[in-house]
Amino acid sequence: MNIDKLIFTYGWLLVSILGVGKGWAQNTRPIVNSTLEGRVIDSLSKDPLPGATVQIAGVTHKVQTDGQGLFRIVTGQKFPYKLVISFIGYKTKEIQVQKGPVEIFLSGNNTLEDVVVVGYGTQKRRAISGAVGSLQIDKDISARTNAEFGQALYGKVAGVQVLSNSGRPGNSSTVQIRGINSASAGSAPLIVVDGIPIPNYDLNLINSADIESIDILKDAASAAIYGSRGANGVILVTTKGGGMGATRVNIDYSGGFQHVIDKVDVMNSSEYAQAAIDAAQNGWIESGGDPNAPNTIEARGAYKYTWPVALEHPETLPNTDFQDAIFRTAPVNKLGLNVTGGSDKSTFLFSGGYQNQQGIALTSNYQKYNATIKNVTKLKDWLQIGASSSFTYDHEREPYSRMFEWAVQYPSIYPLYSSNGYLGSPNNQAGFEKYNAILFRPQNGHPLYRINDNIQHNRLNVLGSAFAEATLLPGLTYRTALNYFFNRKDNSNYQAVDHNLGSAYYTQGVMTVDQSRIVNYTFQNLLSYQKKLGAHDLAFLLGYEYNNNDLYYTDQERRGYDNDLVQSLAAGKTVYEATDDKTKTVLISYFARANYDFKNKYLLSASLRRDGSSRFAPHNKWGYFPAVSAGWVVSEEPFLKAVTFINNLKLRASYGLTGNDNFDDYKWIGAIAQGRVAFGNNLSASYYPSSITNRDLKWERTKQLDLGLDLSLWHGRVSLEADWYHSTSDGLLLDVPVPVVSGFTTAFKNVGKLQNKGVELALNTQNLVGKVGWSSQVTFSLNRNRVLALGDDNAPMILSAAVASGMQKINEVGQPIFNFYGYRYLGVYKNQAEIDADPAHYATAKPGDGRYQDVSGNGVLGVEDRTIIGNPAPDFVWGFTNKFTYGQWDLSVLLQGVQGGEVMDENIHRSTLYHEGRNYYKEVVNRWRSEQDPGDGYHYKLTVDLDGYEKTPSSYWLRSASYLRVKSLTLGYNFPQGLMSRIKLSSLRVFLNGTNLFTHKDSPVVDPETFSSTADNAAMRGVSSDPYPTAKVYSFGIQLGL
Amino acid sequence: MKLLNNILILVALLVLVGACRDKLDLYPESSLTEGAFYNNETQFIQAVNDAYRQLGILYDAGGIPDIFGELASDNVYIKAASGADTYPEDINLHHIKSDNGKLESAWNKAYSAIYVINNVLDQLGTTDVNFSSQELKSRLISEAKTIRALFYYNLTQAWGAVPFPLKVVSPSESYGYGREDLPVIYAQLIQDLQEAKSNLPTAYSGSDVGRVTSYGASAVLAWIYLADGDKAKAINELKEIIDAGNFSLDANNDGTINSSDYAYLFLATTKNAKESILEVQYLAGENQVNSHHQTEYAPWDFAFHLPGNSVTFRGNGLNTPSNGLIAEYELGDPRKDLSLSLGFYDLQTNNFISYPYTLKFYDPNYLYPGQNVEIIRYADILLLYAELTGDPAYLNLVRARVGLANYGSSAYPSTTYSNLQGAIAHERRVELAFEFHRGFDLNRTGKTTLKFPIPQSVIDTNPAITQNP
Repeated sequence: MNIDKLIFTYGWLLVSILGVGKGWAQNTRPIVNSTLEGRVIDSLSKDPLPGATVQIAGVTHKVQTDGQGLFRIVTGQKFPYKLVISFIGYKTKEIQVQKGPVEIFLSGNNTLEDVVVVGYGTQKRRAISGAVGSLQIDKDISARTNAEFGQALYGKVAGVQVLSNSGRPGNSSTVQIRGINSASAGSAPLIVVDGIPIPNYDLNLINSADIESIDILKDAASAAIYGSRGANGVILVTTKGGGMGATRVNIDYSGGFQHVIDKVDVMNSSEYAQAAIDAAQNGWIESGGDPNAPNTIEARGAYKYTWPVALEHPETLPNTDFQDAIFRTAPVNKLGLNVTGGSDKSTFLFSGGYQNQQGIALTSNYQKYNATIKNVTKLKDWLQIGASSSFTYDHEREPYSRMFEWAVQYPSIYPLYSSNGYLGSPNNQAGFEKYNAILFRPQNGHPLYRINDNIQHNRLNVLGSAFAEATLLPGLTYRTALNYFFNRKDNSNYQAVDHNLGSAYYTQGVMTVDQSRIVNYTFQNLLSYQKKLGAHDLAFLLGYEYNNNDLYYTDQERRGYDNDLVQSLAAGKTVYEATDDKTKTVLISYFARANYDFKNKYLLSASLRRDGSSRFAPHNKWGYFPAVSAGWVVSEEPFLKAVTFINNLKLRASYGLTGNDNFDDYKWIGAIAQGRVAFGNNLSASYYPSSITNRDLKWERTKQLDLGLDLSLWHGRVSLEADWYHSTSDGLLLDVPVPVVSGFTTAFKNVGKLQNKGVELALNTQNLVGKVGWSSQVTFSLNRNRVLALGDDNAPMILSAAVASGMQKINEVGQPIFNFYGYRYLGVYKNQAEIDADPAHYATAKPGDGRYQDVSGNGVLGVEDRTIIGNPAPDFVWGFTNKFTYGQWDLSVLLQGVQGGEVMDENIHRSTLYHEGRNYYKEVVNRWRSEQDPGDGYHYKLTVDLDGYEKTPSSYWLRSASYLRVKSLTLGYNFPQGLMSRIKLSSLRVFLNGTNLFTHKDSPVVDPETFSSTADNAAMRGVSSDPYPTAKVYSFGIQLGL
Repeated sequence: MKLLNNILILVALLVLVGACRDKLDLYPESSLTEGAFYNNETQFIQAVNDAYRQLGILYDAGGIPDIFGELASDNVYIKAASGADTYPEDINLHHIKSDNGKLESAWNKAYSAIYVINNVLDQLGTTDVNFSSQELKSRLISEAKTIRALFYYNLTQAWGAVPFPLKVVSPSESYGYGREDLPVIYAQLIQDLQEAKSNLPTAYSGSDVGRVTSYGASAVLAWIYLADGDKAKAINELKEIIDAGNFSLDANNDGTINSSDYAYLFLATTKNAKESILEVQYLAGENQVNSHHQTEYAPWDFAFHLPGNSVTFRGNGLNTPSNGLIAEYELGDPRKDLSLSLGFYDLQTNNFISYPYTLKFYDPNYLYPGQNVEIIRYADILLLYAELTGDPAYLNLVRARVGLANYGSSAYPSTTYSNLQGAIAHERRVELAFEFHRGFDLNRTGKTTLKFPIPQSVIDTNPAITQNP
């Protein structure tokens, strides 16, 4: 069936139904100098189209549709007249209007005419020959109450993996594009906000409601125009601008409740009591004790071999869930206001936002305020100027970070508070006093131990620009802009004296206060020229950029607080520290690009950038970053023109070189640091070299080849974007382990080579169109990473356990980067016979202990048996979105997941073995207890005396990182137009949203996607140390257009 | 006209563009960089001062003397397992794996220090700076070399043959530094120390007191001779120190030698006493030069507090005095109560907690302690001299100070310590408990043959380095 015809039929049918149903037909009086209202809607998805241009034919006056696709045009024209409705990516439509309001359906142009933001400009999707992913800020994303920018990318763009560092309100995600290209220089992409490149920009500083679109430059050729900062890909954020026509006011409110996404299953008090008795008894027996010796200190000599009698009667013990004690259901509220308007000479935007969020963990809360103003004015026909400023101020009270770890590890046998009013702990529980440190420490172990601490963060961020753009000759424009951002952070951390732990428990009060200030400006000059010569379309760009970044940091610390009454520096008796740091970075860049398009069929693009950076030694400051790409629109060829169901088939190829300089300033030059020495009672200064000079430090370079295919069938009913890429990065900037004879355990230098190759697929389908609409999107990304070379002799690089929280990592040629490295765990020695049968058993092995593989096969378990035991990188990541529409209703569901890869959560090596008597994972109930009761054969026995490999990195600590999640579900209702005009509103939408509703995961971790706070650090990938967990959010929202 | 204007603006901008290239030459503003130092005498003194800072790190908790001298010895044990690893327990029980992080850290700190010392020696060797006196320059070189020798002494005792750089080694050169044979190391150290001994003053005054003297170099030289098996030369060095008469068991310098001198040695405020030959300098207080022994050796118990203090202070619980050590003290030996306490009272429950700990690092300023640590003191020299010469007179000097019967007298517990070597070993154990001697003494006298495994990371980084058997 002909799609257009279908759309046409359904479209008019819908209009008729709406029209008749709402009684618009009554309004037949001819109107002069009046208002026409209407709505522009996507004919397929039935989504309103914001930003479409509506113009009365033959008149210059035009307006744009608002966020709900609504427009209002004031005119002196008499009905009937002709309206021209145009919108990028859609076929321009002309309709004859008899009366208002009107509902106008635009049919998509297979999104080929979509304008895509690329480096220093825009291009039509049709003309792009690189790999650029675009994200529409759709209704589902705008319905998520605490959707920060990175969250919006989950499962939506192929080739992009989003990692969460922490669920703290106001915290940003880490975005990774096409695998790890950089080993230790940052692996975060460059963020470009409205043309302003800002490395390491905190995504949360952008008001998500202000974002118009996000475009991601994935291949090196597209990113190469950003040269030395493009190796990790580039995220281009375009914020909303003003609009011509009548002033529009949009008000958005959403509010909801958050709850911790999940809890870790730990033992209840009777299970813990038995585990504690087992650990003591096993230790006692293995130390040579008589198993039947009485449970007394006199008989057993050490408290660790005994246990409180109460453990034998677990029914008398409290059974506290400490995770319940620190988490709460917390409200979140968000309000946004957006006002746009203007004339054909000048447009403006004002937007404001307010967010008030209580955290899901005790004491945590967050407020954020945004205000943005923008103006663009046409001074002359050939000259326009504009300016914008965006202010963000936010404040967070952060809970003490180890609270989450302790809530998992604190034994359930203690009450939250003991009967004496102090925290429930051995020293406050009769009969447990002697078991300090044996049944978990009473101090700094109770989840509320640091509840009186006060950690505050305040940030002020201003991002802005002023520009002038002149059309010098037809097709030749010159743009000069001064972009700036200013960031000020004030942090304070008060460590309390009183911990509610007992009459004798106080610690020293400490207060640390720090401030940092970043002033960053970019002076940007762009000269662009466009020319059409028959079938030849030409575009040139020349650019120059000067970027300056000044950072000033200072911190102060006082100690010696008498009490917690005044939590300010002034109340501390002694000054402990006052120091500062100052750095400056300058980047100077020249760049050029040429695009050539022949008959919309053959596309060619080439670019070159030259960057000079202050971060390198004098002879290494400059680098060149070239790129080329080509596209062939096969569907434009005569032989495919006849195939009507193929609307677009484009083959793309690109190759480019990008760089990475994402590391500290002045790193190439050796520093002399100051120390302190005493002679008798005199203090003197000392000086020592604290780093070594490396004049050869240079850019990390990534070369990438990308082959892509864009396919659109049946008028966009099915569209597919597929990419294959292959990149090699060399000159990796790495903290390379070196013999400490050199004075240092690592040296920061360029070494080695890394390969990433992968496949990305994005499939969009319109499954049902019409009254019931259904569309789907599938994204799939697969990346394989391999080390190709390392140093001079390709020797494996083993990273000390200190790098990854006790777990070792290894970089080895031929293997993925940052593999987990350690002993391979093989389960439990069930009895002595099994030990005797294993020639490689370790000397202290006893029945019930863990067994490890003799990888080298030399019959002895030793360091040579350490091997690759896992990799933090997933096999693939995917997203699956389904959208349904029915009348005024819409429903959207996003599923998203990660398959493969391993994760090491710090709880694993604290709660699967005896560790100061912490609580254990629930699964440890199935441990080996005796030859008769061998458990599941995987979990070894518990003992207070560890003498094997329990605390040595092994695969026992690794778990699968796979998960599947219902990331977001949105149900919305748009009130009918007729009702709206009666109550003088232009639009009204209400919705319900659930975020992170359901997760299926393989590991006993709170959230398998949340890694340590340094997810940006590739070496730490896959290591999780109990960060603030993510929230599950249920919210309600209303979007109102005036 | 308009076009012309525009082109002029463009040209002006392009000129501006070309003008900022030198803006890329940026250097740190809040720290010194290479090339900006070692330009005058004061800076060289400050650079040599860092060798002393390194010495403070070596002799602090977690350094080789602490680990090899006490943790790995029979003086101590670990009462309660703690921490994310079993590194200290493994060392104490002598089932040490090569990936022991505590050893790795001690090794790394030692070689970082040697790098710092080699750097200042290289700089002193090549500098054009005119020193106010040649003596000062050679003194500085000798101070640095003596401290470096102490590092190598500790490294060789704990690990045997070790890499032996004597100058700054670049990362690429560092792969060429395998394990050097012990005789080569000792020969070089002996030469360095002989030179140092002749260049260093016998004493310092004012704010220089605490620097290495010629006697300090001589004492270290004696250790090296002994390690090298040259007993006669060791005896000579010790004799020179004793005969010089600069040192005395009258630590508090009150004219009488008694147990209060022993007590005086371990007061938090005692600095460079009359008995001190070589001493690590710490300084109590915030932002001073703090030591960490008291924290490391104090009970790992939240109810713990220091005598006379009600504020709880949890230690790391390493190096709890063993029952064997406690039993080693003779009845009536005042050193027992001066050296250790058997436990403390939980102030909330009023229970006595039996958890022994040493008092030798007692500093009431428990947050920022700064008690000096004796590397070599006169009693040590006397006992070593007695051991090497077989002359009990020197042993008895040490016993007399604390009012104990002479070896050879009827009151001496000769049933327990029947020969002189046994008596000296016993005396050294109690006299020098927690002063990082026990492990070295046990190895020197052949009672143990402990050698630590080379840290795995060292071999992982440079496979040319071989493991100990």
